Amino acid sequence: MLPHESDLLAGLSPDDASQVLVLGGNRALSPGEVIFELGDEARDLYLVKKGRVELTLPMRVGGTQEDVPVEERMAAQMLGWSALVPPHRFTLKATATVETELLVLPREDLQRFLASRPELGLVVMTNLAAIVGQRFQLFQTMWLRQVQRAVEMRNA
Amino acid sequence: MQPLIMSISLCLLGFAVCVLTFAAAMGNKDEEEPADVASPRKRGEQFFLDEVPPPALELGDTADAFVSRLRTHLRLEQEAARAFLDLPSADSLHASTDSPLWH
Repeated sequence: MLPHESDLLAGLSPDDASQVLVLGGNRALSPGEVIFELGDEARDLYLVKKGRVELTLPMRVGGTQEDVPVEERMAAQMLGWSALVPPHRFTLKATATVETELLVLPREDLQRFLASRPELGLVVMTNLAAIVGQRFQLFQTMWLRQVQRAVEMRNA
Repeated sequence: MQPLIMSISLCLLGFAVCVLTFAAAMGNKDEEEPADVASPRKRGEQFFLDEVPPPALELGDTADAFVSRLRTHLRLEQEAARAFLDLPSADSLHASTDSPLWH
């Protein structure tokens, strides 16, 4: 899959996508390695070049805290959009589940570049809105299903 | 003589009002006493819980097994939610799954 086919850079020409990619640096991760913790300051966005990243939330189970997966990101998908959304704090924990390679895009560099090329900025921010919107719709639906289940249990 | 009688009458009237007000207040307190037993002040530390008790595990269920079932549940719920988003309808929104938490 080519860089401009990733969810963040979809719609850019290969040349324009390359100009975004040179802003970032590579980071290799071993299985189990944590990329960021819930509550960390979000300074960077990440594009998964290869491997898998699990996004988890902490949940108390039987008196202990467990990381429960809520989403998985794979090659050509981005994570860490909290870097572009105030208050710039990660709301999930991200962990590589296999050998993984990421492109790390510093927020300030990306914003500076997109401000200098507004036509690219529009495309990238539209892609970002779609990614955030999909997460929102998914969780809204899951939440409503759980509420419905709670109503059924109460009326049972 | 008349002003003196008026003064004494007013003093007696004031005293009577005080007595009645005090009696009424004491009477109300007595009436409220049974209800106060259930008030948060009487229940003490139960009003503020330091920690929410952990969810009860089923008999013979280890934490690992429960987390495994929870993972499966979340995966199935995400699949069901995605199916709804692909083709939204009231039926697909509440379509049931084979989640181990519900069966």
